[in-house]
Formats: sequence, structure tokens, C-alpha cells
Amino acid sequence: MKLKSLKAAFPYTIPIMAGYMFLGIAYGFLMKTKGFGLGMTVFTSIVVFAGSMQYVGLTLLTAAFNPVYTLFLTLMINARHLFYGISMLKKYQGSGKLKNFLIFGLVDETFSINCSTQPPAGIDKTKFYFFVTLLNYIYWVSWSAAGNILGNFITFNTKGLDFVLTALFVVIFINQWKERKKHSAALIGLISPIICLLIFGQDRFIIPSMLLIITVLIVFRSRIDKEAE
Amino acid sequence: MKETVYSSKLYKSPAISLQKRIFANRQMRNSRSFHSSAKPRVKREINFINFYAAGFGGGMELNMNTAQIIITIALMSIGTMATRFIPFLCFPANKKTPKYIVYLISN
Repeated sequence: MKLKSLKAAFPYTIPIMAGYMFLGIAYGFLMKTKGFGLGMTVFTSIVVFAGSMQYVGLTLLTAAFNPVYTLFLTLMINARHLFYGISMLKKYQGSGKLKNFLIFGLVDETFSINCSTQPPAGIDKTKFYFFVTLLNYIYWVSWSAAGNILGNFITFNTKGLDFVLTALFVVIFINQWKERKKHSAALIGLISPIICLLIFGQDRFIIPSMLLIITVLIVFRSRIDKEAE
Repeated sequence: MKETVYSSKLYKSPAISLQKRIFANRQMRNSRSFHSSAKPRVKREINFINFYAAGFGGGMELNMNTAQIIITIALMSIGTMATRFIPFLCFPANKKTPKYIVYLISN
């Protein structure tokens, strides 16, 4: 039964395996160039398990110790997971012991599969969701470990490799832009940081821009709601 | 066997010239075993904090010590898990999620 669920889940995760190959290897490689070995790379991938946050973490780990900023930034960057959680409330209902693991592993990719896919007939949905989550988790940890090991043997100029993160966010932004007909919310998200960047400067603009975005969304709620309808 | 005893005795003997000792010392430094085992061990002892921070040996100088690195990673984990678990803790599936929350998050 378990094997059947695994077999059903595996094909859906193949694109993720390929996608993580680049992101994971690049992450492991960058960790190596920043001075972190295999142990620390695998540890981070196991306990954090959030691709974009781990990339941001590269900068946090090499900068001076700043726990408050780290926590705030993590909450801001991963705030989208709140939305994933709300969308999955019903689907993950009644998953028993596996529920905590399913929530733990609710990354963008796992969400995209589990949210949109109906498990094949005869397959227990909880087990299907579990194997999708588990496989993606294994891919991420393994590819980041592979990247770090590869860093021992290959050295090349990694300048610009951390642009992967920026590129990833641009892709997420374009996807969300395409999904919606009206773009006022996206434009608020684009303009607010630019204003804050001009006022607060490059090092301190992220948190003020998040606060500005939330404020603008609350103030113009009725207008944005009308647009959505 | 005899030869080894003899040579080690010779090496220890005060009669051996300083020049010979320097030569022997140089040979030892250049030997493979010296580089493969002894040297890294010394390096690790000096940079032990960075060594552990790096997992299994690292390169770049880091601005944090091991405890601070672990705390930073733990906070990243706590922050991430908070965003994943909060919806399930705050809005049990049998209750309706407040509209305001849905609006704010979906935008």
C-alpha cells in the first residue's frame, strides 16, 4: 500500500527533482564558497527547508550576528506560506500523525503539487501528500549536499551565482502577475519598496516596505476588493 | 634494524652538527607525511571555531562564532515553521477563516 502511494506520487515530483537540481546544487556550492562545509549545509537544509530563505540566509550567516533582523526577515520572506497553509487547511484535515510533517514540508513546490493534484483512484490521499512532501524534502537535502561536495572539487568564479535568488523571485512575481487579471496589489508590492529604498537606503528598506505594503492594502481595501470582483 | 638504531642514536647525539640537524628538519618538513597529517591538525586547533562552523573544514573567515551561527539557523527555522504552522493552529478546518485574513494574505 505504501509502495503504491510512493509510485503514484513519484511522477508528480520529477519536475521538482529537476528544478531542485539547479537550485540545490547552487545553494550547496555557495555555502562552500562562504566557508560552510557539508555538515552545516545539510543541517541547514534539514531544519530550515525553505529554498529562498536559505539563499537569504547565506548573507545573514556571513554578516554580523543579528537575531532580531534574522527572525523578522524570515517571517517577511516566508509570509506567503501563511496563504499556502490557509489553502491546505481542508486538504490536510484528518491526516493524523503525518499532519505535522505535511505542514513542516509545505514549501512552494510541495504546495503547488498537493494543492492542484487529486490523488489517483485507490490511493490514500494522506499517504500521497506525505510521499510528495517526503520526496521533495529528500531532493532538496540531497542536491544541496551534492552541491557542497562538488564545491570541494571544482572551483570557478562564483561571482553572480547568488543572482539565482533574485531570478527566483522575479519568476514567482511573473507567475503571480499572470495569474491575476488586475494588478493593483502587485503594483503596490512593486512601488512601495522603491519608495522605501529611496528613503531608507539599501540596507534598511525591507521591513519598512513590508509595513508600507500592509498599510496601503488595508487603507485601499474596498477599492482593491471591487477590482477583484 | 641495526642501522635504524644507529641513525637515531646519531641524530640524538650532541656531536651531530647543527647543519645536519637543519637538513634533517627540512627533509621532515618536505616529506609527505608531515604535510598530510601534522600540518592540518595544527591548523584545525588554531581555527577550531571556524572549523566546526564550517561543518567539515571551511575556508572563509566568518563573522560569527559557532553558537551564533546555530542560533541564526535556528531562528530561520523557527520563523519558517511559524509561517507554516500558524494557519493550522489559528484556523482549525472546521471553523471559517475571517475574511480580513483571507484578503490580506491572498493579496
